[in-house]
Amino acid sequence: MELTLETKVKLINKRIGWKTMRSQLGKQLGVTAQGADLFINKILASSDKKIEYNNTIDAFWKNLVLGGAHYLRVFKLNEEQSKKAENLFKLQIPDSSFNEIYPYPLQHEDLEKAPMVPTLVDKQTLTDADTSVHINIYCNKSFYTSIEDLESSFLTEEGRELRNSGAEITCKKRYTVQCYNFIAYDSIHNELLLCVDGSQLPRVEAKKEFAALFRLLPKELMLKLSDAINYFSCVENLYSTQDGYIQNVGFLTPDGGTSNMKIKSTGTCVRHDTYHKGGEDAAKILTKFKLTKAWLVASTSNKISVFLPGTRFMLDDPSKKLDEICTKNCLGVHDTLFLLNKIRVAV
Amino acid sequence: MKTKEQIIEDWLDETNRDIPSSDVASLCSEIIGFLASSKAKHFNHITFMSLFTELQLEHSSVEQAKALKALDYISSAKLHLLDMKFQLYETEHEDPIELETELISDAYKTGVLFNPETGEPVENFKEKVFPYFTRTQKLMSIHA
Repeated sequence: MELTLETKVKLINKRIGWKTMRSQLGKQLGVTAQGADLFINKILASSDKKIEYNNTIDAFWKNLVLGGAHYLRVFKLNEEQSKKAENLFKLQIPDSSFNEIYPYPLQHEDLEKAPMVPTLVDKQTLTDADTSVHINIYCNKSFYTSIEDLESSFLTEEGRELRNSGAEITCKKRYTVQCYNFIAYDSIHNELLLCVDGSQLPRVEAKKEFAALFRLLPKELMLKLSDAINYFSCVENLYSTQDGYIQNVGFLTPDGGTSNMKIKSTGTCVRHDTYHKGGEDAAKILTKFKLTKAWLVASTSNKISVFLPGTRFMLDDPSKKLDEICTKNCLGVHDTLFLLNKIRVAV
Repeated sequence: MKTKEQIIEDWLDETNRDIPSSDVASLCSEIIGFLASSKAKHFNHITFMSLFTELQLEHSSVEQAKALKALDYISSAKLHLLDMKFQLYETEHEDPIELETELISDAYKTGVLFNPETGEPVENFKEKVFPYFTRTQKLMSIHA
């Protein structure tokens, strides 16, 4: 079943957010508007450009399924493991319900019947002077639970009175989503990447997705999930490297206090914030454990970022690894690989 | 009256005499040099990994083992530039609770650690207690 233009644009909006969709997709379509609904209306109003818009949006979405936000775990492979890893990328793509509509997601009724096991839907290979990456793209049904305010229509009069007097009445809601996860093998750096869809799932739910992806790896690799690269040492190095923009940093003060500094949405870099700079100059030692750093991609003028979710605990227990990183606002896999390159240099 | 440089030199000489392993002695010297620097003048809560970060040490188990020995010596009664203290992490995601020396000492004798904030016994406390270091008066005096 072909999705409407409106549905496709709404999917993009949900995955990448209004601000990025407006600047990136809007630039490609030659369309701009102040609000999402107005944007969609302008697209729908141009009936003579419908086919052109459709093609552009389809191409944009196909890249975007490997973009948006992803949680990454990276494994360094030796020569023998690298040879065995390559077998994973020789698999044939099976028929599946996901495949019928890929790269678009299944609609709700079909998704409810879809499997939770990752299903291979596409393969890509990226090669140029600096890159040689094989990618297997998987789709699966997944769930996450969210605690939300219970709608007033479910409350009795007593319940509504209780709420009006200040009580919080919440419920747990379960959402069914379709994840676009992928496994990539970078033969230049001998690294295997497990990437879980962060645009669909909160980080706390990513663990089971990683486990499911890990089970797809050939047993001959003799890998354990705990073998993923530890990126904790990158936090300080990324902060100190004078490129990009630090959007958020968590640190320990010289007296053992924990602090967090986040720039405002229109700000540029924490390192230029007057208050933070003053603190750094006075304290001299602020030990960073958590960081979000962004870079502007020259070709798209899109700001993409990586979040290293370290904890204070990692400063006290060296055995605790920071083996999961989060990429955000990526338009496709090239952006994800760009961020990984930045981190690789900082290890 | 000795100068700051002479005092530091004495500490380094003492270290080299006391520690037979040149690797560990060398790391001790590096740590002492850093703690005596102006950058570390206000460094009052020193964790294992914050020291690693400041000294740009490799995050390997070999370096960690050396660092443990070095810090053990620097905080011992011999050199005593640092005091070793302990903190409790009930969970990884909460801020740690500082533990009085007497509390942790009793815990190791009796096998039971009581959370100083709740009074409740801490299950598997040995996995949840981690050291950190503070500067002694001896170290702070060279910054005065």
